[in-house]
Amino acid sequence: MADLIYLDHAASTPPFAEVIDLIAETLRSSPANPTGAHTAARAAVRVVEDAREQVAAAVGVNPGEVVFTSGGSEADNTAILGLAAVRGRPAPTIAVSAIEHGAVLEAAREAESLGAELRIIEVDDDGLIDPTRCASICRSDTALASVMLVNNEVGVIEPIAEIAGNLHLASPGAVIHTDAAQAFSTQPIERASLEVDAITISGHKIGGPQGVGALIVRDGLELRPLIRGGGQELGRRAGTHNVAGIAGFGLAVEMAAERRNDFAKRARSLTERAWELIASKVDGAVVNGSGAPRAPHILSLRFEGIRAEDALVLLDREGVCISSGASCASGAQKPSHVLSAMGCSAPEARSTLRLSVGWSTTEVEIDLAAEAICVAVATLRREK
Amino acid sequence: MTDRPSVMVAMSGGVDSSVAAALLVDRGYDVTGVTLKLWAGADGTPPTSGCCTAADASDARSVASLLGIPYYVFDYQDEFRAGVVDPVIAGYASGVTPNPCIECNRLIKLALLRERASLLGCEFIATGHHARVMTTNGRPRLLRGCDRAKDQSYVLYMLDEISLRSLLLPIGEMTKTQVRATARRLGLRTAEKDESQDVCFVGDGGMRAFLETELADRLVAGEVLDRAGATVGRHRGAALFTIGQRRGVGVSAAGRRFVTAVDPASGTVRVGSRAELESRVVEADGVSWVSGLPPEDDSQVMVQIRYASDPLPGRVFSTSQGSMRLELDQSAWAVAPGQAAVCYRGDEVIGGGTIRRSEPDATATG
Repeated sequence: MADLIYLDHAASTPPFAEVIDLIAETLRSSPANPTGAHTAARAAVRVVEDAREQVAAAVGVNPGEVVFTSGGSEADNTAILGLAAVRGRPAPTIAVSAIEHGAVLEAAREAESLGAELRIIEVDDDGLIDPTRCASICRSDTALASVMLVNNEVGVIEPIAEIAGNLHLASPGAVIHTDAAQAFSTQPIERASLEVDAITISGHKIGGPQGVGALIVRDGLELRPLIRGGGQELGRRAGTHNVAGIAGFGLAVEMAAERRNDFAKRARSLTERAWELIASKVDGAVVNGSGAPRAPHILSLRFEGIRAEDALVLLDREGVCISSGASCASGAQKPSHVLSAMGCSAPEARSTLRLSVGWSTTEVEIDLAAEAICVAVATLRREK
Repeated sequence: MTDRPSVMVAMSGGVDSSVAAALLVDRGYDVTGVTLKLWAGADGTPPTSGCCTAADASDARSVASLLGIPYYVFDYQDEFRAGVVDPVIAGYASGVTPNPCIECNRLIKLALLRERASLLGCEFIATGHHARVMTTNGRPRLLRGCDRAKDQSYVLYMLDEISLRSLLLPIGEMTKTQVRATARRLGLRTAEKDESQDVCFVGDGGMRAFLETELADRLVAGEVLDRAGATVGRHRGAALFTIGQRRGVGVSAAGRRFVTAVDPASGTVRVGSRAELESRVVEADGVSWVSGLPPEDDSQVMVQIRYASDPLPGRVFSTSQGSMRLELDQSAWAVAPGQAAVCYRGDEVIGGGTIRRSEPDATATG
């Protein structure tokens, strides 16, 4: 990693040094299975519960409202399939935004194939959802709605509190979930303020390890578990805890929340710097979602006349690591569903690059990357 | 960037291209592995058999990782659909039998690969085709692969000297057995992988099922006629048939009957005896010659009229710009317009073209 210019933090961001140390230390000191009846087990339980308290405090909920999972995708699946399954039987109505992460969309489609009615909440050309429009799509019979707070591809920030507020009025029984995986590092996440019932958090987006996350579920909400077996997490998610990973996750959540304001400021100045450099040297570059409030650490740009995948290869050879659209697109063949929902044509979607910064990103890296992007775009345009 | 010659290898995830990449690394080339993503299933669901499966890209990636080379996937599905799949379907709909692999090589695989290579500053491209490029007196020639049973030179006939100069075919000198042994020795997980048997975008049901789905209500049911014009059966769509086909012909007649002509416009399919499909003369257009120059009229060549057919001796004549006439010394059976007629001299491909018509062999009995 040392000789790379890594600007794909929205995909995964390196864990904090303190988190790495804690994980290593926990693996050494607390390797027992928390479900045992002995001292060693109780030490492991302590680690898990300490982490739970850290997460609960950061989000303003009770520890019992934190369910540890294997990451954001599992949390999303649990929210959609686990929460909806117990509501509005036999055929609950589920509403999700058109720009949700694949985990939410695919889980929603699975629910649909199992009999649920699926409604898609559209976005405008900047990726924004209109809270009034959303409420009218959901009508009065929606059992579960899911809208992400910050979109991972273009960074647009949705007015979740307003959306949720309107929805609760329109559909009083609705459970509202928000995927906050990409939001956590720069946006305040407080369950009550967001007016939601469930929140997804992901470790590797915020300086924690990959493979650990949490679903925050409001007290009193029934949840059908996806993973069954040993009854862990109060019967909501079975499986032996990833004790060390959870410890790291808890610390990462605490650290990310503490650094949020500073990071948001730094990230904003870095991505603005990148945009200014690029816009000054390259014609026909457009910020996706430019008319919407956007998270400061993500910059999604489209460049007329190039194919993003070609640019990625040229940049890779210069040691610059960025992405085009979402990083989970390895299996997906179609142009980004997020960009399509925002009205981008297929060529526009396929000419989009996403640059995202992290705690470690420096101005030097931004300058080098911006230069490399300009060169790559010029090369590709010349080649045509 | 290094001083070593650089090459971009098309890796399909199969054992041939895996070994091709490995050999080039061994020989000191600066190798970049790429997979061309061409097909994602007719409805966008990645196929689980044939080519371009999710496992294929994963296999190619793992081989690249083992070899320590950079690896990229290039998405050319739109171009493949427009440039290969749709024209192939249209060809069948008009009554000819295209060879999709030839169209793909011509328009997509080698052309796009070359573009990507030049973009990334790679001097050469390479594939795992069973064929050889050999340079004699400074001029590159295209030869059959050493394993005759696996020879793929037929689908590469459209290459010219310029293309051949920058094309490396590392496994052409090896037999398939040697290729697998090499893969095993290198610890490549693709060593025992089965070859994809059919055209890459055709699913488990074969070309017929694929065409039935794609053409759907454009298919016009009609009559199957014999040589005399009498109706001997019915069919679901003339486009589903190809010259020489015997199965799937719903015919009530004594003796074996083969498709002798297909005419989607009138919706008729004609059947006849084996002997009616013997041809001595084949005409082709869209002809290209590896050396850039056509052979002298009336010169002797060996002709293959299908991928897997035995080469037949004959003489070639250039008829007009880009067209040729082949007069065979012994008859070819079931010459299908749309297929390629490829001319060889010994093991060397000298060129070929797309078959347009053939003349029945008047001396054939039956």
